Amino acid sequence: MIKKVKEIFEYKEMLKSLVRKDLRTRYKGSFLGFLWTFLNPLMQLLVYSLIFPHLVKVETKSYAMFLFVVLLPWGYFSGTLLGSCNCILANANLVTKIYFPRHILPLSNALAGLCNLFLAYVIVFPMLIIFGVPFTLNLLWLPLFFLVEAVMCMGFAMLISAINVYFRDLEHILSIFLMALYFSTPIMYGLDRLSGDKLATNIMLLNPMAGMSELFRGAAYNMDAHALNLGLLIYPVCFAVAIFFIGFLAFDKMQRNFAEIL
Amino acid sequence: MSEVKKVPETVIKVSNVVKNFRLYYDRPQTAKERFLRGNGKHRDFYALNDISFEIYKGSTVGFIGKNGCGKSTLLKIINRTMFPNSGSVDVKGKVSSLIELGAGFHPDLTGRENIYTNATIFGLKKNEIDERLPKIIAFSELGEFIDSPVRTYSSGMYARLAFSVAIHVDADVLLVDEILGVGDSNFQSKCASRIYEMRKSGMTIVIVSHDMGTIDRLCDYIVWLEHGKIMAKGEPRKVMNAYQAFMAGEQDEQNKADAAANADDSVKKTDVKDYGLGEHFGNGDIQFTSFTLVNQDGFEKRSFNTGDKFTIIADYVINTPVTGREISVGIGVYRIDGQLIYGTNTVRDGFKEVALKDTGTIKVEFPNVCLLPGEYYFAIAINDFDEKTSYDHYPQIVKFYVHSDIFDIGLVRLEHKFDIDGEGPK
Repeated sequence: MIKKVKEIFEYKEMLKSLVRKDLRTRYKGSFLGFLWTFLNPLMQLLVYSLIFPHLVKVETKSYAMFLFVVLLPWGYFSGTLLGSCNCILANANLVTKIYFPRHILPLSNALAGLCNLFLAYVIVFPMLIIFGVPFTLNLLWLPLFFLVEAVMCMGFAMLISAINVYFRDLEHILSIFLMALYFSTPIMYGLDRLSGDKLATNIMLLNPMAGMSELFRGAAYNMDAHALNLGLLIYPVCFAVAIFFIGFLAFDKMQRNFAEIL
Repeated sequence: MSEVKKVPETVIKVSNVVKNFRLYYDRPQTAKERFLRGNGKHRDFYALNDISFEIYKGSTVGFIGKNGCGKSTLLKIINRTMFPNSGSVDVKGKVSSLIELGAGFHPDLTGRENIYTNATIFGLKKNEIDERLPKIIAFSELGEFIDSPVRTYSSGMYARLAFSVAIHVDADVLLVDEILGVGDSNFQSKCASRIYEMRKSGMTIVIVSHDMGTIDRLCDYIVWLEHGKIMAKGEPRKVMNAYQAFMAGEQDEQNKADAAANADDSVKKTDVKDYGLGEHFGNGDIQFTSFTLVNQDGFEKRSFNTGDKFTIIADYVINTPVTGREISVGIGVYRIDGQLIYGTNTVRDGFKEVALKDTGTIKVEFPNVCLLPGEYYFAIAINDFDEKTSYDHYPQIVKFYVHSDIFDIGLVRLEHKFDIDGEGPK
């Protein structure tokens, strides 16, 4: 594995250029081009801030921000998982013809998503001011949380992209599964909604994105009783490291036959 | 040079490589089929069966063999896009391949941006690309188009850009798979001379090709594969001769089988006046009933050496009488790709009239077949004098092979003699 990691490191230029290509071509051809990277989350925020306070009765202050700071990391997570399904298949012509460490493909997919998340999060800061959410030192935790989520996404991306080559139904199963997960992750509501039901809370926290969501909210949205609970970090960190190793090794094993299956 | 040859350094070492593919007669793809039929019937197909060889640094090695003999699989294994079932492959240094050109080009990015992306796939670093960029752009002859999106390129421009990138990677090993047909003839000769240059500079090159000319010009070692096994390897001329003799022998057998099959047909179809000789047209007043190609001893044959004598014999029958003056018999020799080598007819040959009997035989003798190695066929026709009416016309009959021990190039071998400072060949 160390040899492989070294090799991937040697190909970091390819990784960079694939990420760059992904970012540059994502909105290519559209009139506003790269601006969409910022416009997209901004428009989302607009929709949430208009609809929720006026149509649905919510008591949370600045609900749009409450939702938004967590929705972006979730979007990264689900987007990467779904996107990684096709990253080997879409690059079949590369995989069958040229040698390079195949891990690069899912990794570049996860990293391009991370860059997008960063750029989208740039919108968050001016919006916090507009919505009157106070800045606190907790914001400094954000880079660490990004890192943990990125490691987790890379692990999943490797695992899913490899399995999907052999079992293409995964893509469809995954989209349903992610929808279910979306509602059972504290995104539209806080973990405190479970009002101290220990068992339900623990079951919910088995999902690493539940802990991550609470952490992101704790760091960026410091209102009401949403204090940052760093204890929640332990499980997602362990999970992220584990899934990264599993993903890496499983991918390494499965990639040997890619060229024949594609 | 001689010192280098004394201690050859192995760059590629392939030992006992076996690669088999599972061929499913009907591969179950969906869950429903998998449940109903289980894992499906399959058999193992050995694309490579116990292959071993070594390639030394600085040599140019060619792989030859029929379609499906395992050449491309072997290249993929050396390229590490496929892994052998058993055995080992050891490649020292960076491998670049001219196998799939332009893999990974993004249509919306400009030529320049795609050079960067594509070159990083071959493992180049940013500064290495910066350094090569002017050379790559100059070689591609794209000029100002280099900053336009690749989707606006013609296929020739696309291929030229891809080729330029692949050829400037400066790898230790270059794999080439049947791709020397990129761009116009100027660009092709540029590519060829670039490959010569790289060869001279000590790069190891592995070529897969069906074109014996290319192989002969470039390679100094040849491996002939057949059904996943090595039939022969070594000295190019020797291996190529063995290969071509083998192919010609197979063709003869195939032709005999074809002839036997056709003979059955013609017996059945005499009444409906279709002699089962292949595609033909004409009004049917006169018809061909059989074609035979014989060698100088009168034996039916379909493979010849350059310089042999052969005769094509066509039997005919007249269904509706036409007067002699209105008949002209024509014949043409074509290379398999449709290039006309030679054509003539009785009028051009000076016949004022051709008097045919009710049934008879037309023979055309070629005392010196000066064709170069390759596959050829005849076209034969009986027309009226000014070629307005066709009585019977076969555009493609009697495929035959020509082989030769001399590797000259072109279409035909012209009689010639070198005189260098008053001396002939020694």
